[in-house]
Amino acid sequence: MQSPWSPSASLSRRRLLQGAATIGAVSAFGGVARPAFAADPKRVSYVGWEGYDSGFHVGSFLADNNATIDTTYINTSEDMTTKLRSGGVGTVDLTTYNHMYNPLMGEAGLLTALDVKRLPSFDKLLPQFKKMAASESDGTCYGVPFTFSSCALLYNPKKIPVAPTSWKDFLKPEYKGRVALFSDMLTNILVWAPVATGVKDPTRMNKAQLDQTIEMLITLKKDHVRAMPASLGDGAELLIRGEADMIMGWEPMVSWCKAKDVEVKIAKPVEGTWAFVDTFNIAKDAPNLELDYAFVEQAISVEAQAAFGNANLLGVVNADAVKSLTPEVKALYDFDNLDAYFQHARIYPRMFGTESDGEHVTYDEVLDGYERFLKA
Amino acid sequence: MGDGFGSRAFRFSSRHVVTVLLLAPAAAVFFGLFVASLSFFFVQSFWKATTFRVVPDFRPFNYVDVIAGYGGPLLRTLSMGLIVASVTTMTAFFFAYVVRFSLGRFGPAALLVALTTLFGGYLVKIYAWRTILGADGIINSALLNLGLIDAPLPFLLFNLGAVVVTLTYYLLPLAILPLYGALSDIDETELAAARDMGAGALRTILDIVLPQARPALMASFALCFLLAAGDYVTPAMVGSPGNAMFGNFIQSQFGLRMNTPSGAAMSFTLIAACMIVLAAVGSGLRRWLQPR
Amino acid sequence: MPPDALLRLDGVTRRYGDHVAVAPTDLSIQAGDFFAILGPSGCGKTTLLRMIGGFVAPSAGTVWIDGADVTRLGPERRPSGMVFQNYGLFQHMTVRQNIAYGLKLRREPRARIDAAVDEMMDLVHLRHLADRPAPQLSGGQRQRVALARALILKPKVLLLDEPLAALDLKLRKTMHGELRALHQAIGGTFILVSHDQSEVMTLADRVAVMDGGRIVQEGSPRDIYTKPADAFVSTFIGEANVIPGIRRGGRIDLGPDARLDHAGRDGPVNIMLRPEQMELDPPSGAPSLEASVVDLIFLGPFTHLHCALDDGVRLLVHLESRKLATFPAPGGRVRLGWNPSEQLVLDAP
Repeated sequence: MQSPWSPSASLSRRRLLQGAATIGAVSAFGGVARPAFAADPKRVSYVGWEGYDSGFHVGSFLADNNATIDTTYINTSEDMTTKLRSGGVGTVDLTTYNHMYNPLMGEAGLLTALDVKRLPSFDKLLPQFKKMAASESDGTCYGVPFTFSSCALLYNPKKIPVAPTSWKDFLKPEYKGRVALFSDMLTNILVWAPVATGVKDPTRMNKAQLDQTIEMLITLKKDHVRAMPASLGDGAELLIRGEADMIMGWEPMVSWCKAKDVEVKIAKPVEGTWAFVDTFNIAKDAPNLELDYAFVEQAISVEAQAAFGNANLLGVVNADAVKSLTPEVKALYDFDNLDAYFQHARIYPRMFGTESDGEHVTYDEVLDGYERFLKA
Repeated sequence: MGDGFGSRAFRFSSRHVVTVLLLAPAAAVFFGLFVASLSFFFVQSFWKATTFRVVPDFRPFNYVDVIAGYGGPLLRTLSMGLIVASVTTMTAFFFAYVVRFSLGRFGPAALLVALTTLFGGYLVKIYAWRTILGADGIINSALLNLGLIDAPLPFLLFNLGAVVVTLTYYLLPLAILPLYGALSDIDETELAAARDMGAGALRTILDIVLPQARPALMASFALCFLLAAGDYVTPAMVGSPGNAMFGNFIQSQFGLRMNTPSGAAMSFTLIAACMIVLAAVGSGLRRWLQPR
Repeated sequence: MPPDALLRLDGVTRRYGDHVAVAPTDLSIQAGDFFAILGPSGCGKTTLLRMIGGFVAPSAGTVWIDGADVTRLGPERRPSGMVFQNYGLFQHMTVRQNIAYGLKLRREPRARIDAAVDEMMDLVHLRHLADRPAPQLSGGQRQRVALARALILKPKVLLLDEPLAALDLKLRKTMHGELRALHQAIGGTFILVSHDQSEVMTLADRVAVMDGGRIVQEGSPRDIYTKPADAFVSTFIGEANVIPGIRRGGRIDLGPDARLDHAGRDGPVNIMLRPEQMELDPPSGAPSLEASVVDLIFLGPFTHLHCALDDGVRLLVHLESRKLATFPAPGGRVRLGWNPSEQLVLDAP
């Protein structure tokens, strides 16, 4: 559920004990060694975020289709790529990439181009998502949107009486040591690049803009930031415990904090923020193609969407499911005025390029820049 | 005579077979999982990474790149490991010393209490320390209630000190066990004899106790150092914001960048650096604790 | 108490809660003495020695060594040296390093330390083992290292805590000789704690017998053997026959046909006789008792006769074999007598 917050799930004791040297070994070997049951036509192989598969268990879907699901939960988006690259193509059925990866992975031959006409519920998708699915990768759809949320500027109104209006408020001297960043690479870059440089689409920024972004992040880290929470729960805890009064957060945190009697509000900084949209993909050469379409259809069906959104306090993509959402969830994602929500929380079309086009920074350059920030 | 020799030879060989059988599972795990995976990654550490693909090659420069690019985080990680291991080993030594030589019949109870801290998950302990050191934590609440401070002290958490405290707490029972074992083997009479010859308490520890506990000191130190230097979770959760450890960068190479060669080269660099540090500490200890 | 005593204890006491390990004790030991504290285990003798060495703090009283009050000083600041029962050699050091340790603590020049260690190793016959690690030494060798290690610091008082208890009999006898020779060669003051009366007899020139946390008798070994202060001392030092009797009007009644004159208050008494003080078929007029022979053990020059009185009291008689015309047979009756001038009459408690 926390694709942009990928480090959170990887922080397990097991990993620590194995030591830094074997970390890679575990994920790579796990990927290779896991037996694939795709040969059985009724076993659908799912490689994705934990929880995103909950919709398949709504109603009698699995029984109706005489299918079972083999799940491999991931810690980072890259786990899916590793799996697909190391023998997964031909054995994996479903993945759950953030939509920005879809064109890249589709063009790299890891994902199946989807025929959305085979998905009855596709027509019920909210217009933003219908448009997104149709427009990515020159009109080829490699993933059907499934859920959304964003990196929200959260603040504690008791400590910060006037709502912040800009991410730059993080740099105000009066908030020194009272703010918190994300510990996720993509989120930090995509949120702060527009703040530092004014760039409209940070996935298409140049080297100088990247450097400016990294400089701002370093300034934040060195002089202003109290902590960089290691996970989503960790971030909420900073607000609950009063360690931080203003953080780069996530909509469900508002409810988490409320459950602990701490009031937290969402501010709308002028620079906007990054919207997370996760999708369902069918892997290239998926062994159960017919059945996989049924699975994707189920994931975006009204019942599954409503149950998922309410249980996880996350945005849904099926317009008919919105009616079944609790008022709390509806308010979090401003479903009454979704256009305004997405004007603020921006959907960027695709990931940084992998090869240099001579103008824009590549994914590798962004990673290098982020490491510079981490090392500083 | 011939029979006797034969039966002895038979006995020897059957014992040999039993030994081999007993060692087999451990050896299988060691070679199958540890050596095999490490060898695989050692070979890969000389390969070349292109976009999402790894190509066999021979590039010793991978290692040069690691040192050039990540020397800072490596030093930071090793220093943190050194600090944590030193603090933990010293604390564990004094605890084991008191349990062994000063507490008498209350010693075992104290040891048991210390070992109960082994219970509870690793993350639970980190959160426990965040609760203790935090702005609304026990220490700050107590100081506020006593009127000693007006606002919570921010410097208790999110810095190196908090990392050292948290990791020390986590590693302490692991460090105590070998040390207590070693001290149990030291005859109290030796301590009395040293004092009788004019050595004060500190001299006795330096001249008599520490040299005899040296293998255990080294074992505890190495255990703490390796676990601390390989840890990047505790620093991320209670350390200075964004002060990434070497492990974070290794993780990023394998995870985010899918650059196995670079990740492997970094892993082996870390392993080598740790071995160098431990060898230096070991020989330093040996020299320092040699009877003169 | 002579003022020039090297070691003096004034009312030294040690209590553990309600338990009195050492009752208020006064003691003075002269320079050059080989002094032994003798007693059964648990009598407080080791606690007393540890209070002299500084390892146990007295609950009350004062310890003086060479005119200085050392009661509050730890062992590292007392001019005493200790040889421990299980030696306490430094296991990570060689013989040479063990012996040199104390001098190194005093930061003596290297050359002087080496010379002193060599000399000390010669004295205890360890020169050939100089570089052997402590764990590889035999019991006797460890004992010698422990002695050398303490003696090299020239302590004013050398404290020996059951130093030979861990050795076998033969080695113990050898070490007895060496200890005496050492004491004579060095001329120091030794205080030995032991539960072995024969060791004490062999080594010490003065003895304090302890029982139940107090010194019950102090004197030369000979005094204590011949004039034990009570039945406990008499049985603890050497072997003794204790014959119960009742005194009435200056006569002690020991049985139907055994009476002897002895002035004192009326009441139960014990007559104490060493085995060698009793004889077979005494001359008439001497006090005697009839007993049956339980066992007879021939030991060459001596024969030990185990007898029992009719009321069950056991008697042991040492006889010179060459003076026996016939050997009494077990089960037979014998008459045992003694010279009244050698008997010791003690009022029974």
